[in-house]
Amino acid sequence: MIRLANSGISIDLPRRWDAQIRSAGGELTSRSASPLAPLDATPSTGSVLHAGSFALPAERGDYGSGAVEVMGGSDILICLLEHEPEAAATALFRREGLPSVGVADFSPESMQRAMPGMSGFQRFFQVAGRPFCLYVVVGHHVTRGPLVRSAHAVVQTISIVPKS
Amino acid sequence: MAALVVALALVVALLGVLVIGLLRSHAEILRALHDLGVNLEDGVAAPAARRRTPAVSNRAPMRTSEGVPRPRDENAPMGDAVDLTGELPLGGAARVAVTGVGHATVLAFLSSGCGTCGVFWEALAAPGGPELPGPDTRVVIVTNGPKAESAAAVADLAPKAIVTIMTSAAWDDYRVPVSPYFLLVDGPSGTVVGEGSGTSWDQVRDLLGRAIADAGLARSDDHNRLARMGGQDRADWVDSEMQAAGIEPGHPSLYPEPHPSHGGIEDGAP
Repeated sequence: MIRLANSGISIDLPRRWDAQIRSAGGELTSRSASPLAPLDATPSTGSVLHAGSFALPAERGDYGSGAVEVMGGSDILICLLEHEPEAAATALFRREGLPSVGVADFSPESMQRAMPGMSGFQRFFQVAGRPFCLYVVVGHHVTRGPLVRSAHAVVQTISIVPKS
Repeated sequence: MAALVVALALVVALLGVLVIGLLRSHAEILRALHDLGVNLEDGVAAPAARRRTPAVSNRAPMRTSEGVPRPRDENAPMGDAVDLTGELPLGGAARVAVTGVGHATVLAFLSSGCGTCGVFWEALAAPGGPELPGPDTRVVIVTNGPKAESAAAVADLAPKAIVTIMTSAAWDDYRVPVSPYFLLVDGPSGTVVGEGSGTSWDQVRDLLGRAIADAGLARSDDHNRLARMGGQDRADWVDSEMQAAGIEPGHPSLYPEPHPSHGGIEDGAP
């Protein structure tokens, strides 16, 4: 396991995994300029974590557009998007703490953009007053069991500290 | 008679000048051979052995084109690759796995300041991406960390379609002599199989393409490709082949009737 940390977010990565944590305000994913942008939901204005069991492409939308297209059937993509601090007071982000990632929670309908065979999971929550959306994609819905368990193990290594 | 003597003297003088010139040229050739590690005064008994063993001299001047860095000592082993951890030019952190993965990775060690690097920044940012040295190959640009490089300058140069990571540790880990420099990492074995530099991407691509061929990484057929795959890549390949044949999850052929010889045996039966 290798720990990657930035912007008060850290994650332990298994071997073979790629990851990027973009600081708030960074424009690495070219959200406005990229043709991928329209595929995504409202982009995050805060920090964004992407972790994948495959080679993450440089051009990605916040919700993984551009990456899910190159995923294999046994791949996993984890997206953690931070929202505006004010959102923490809203009902959508009422849940406290990192959510568990369970097999029954995955559905092809939860994909931001439907991809044949793939399955998604999305939860909103807050940690230390910071509101987040966790979005996880596994490459194969039918055989998602071991993939979801692997995803859950990685998600549970995510640590979030209050913004200084 | 006097004219004959004068003419003869001139001829002798001319021949003397010619001989001196030849001796001087011979001395220069001997000096150059000596610099290259060839010593003709060792005797005549071992010329065949000398031919079999390339002459190596630490004093031999390595010549490269202007702007092209000298390669490292050819006897130094390239060794194991290491994954990359560093910073993003526009803020943030990144981890790039190059070992244990199913593909090859070209690590392009570039700088925002070197003139020759400009050619490669442009080539790698070409529309449609650069032509790669082999199939299933990923390019990652590696600059020094923000303490040694201007993150803003790197951000301006970084192609949108190629991951650019800033990490001085990688330059140390891979013992990069100078920029621009390129290494080819074989993902499955986690080793560096080729390295070098050039004045254009085409040169580097050819160089690394030969390294791929030399290392036997050219996956020209499915058998070769499958033999090198890890478990997950192999599973993906099987999935794609079955889908191409119209066999999706739940297909009846995946759940055949029990063989007649198993007809009387139930789960839990003795």
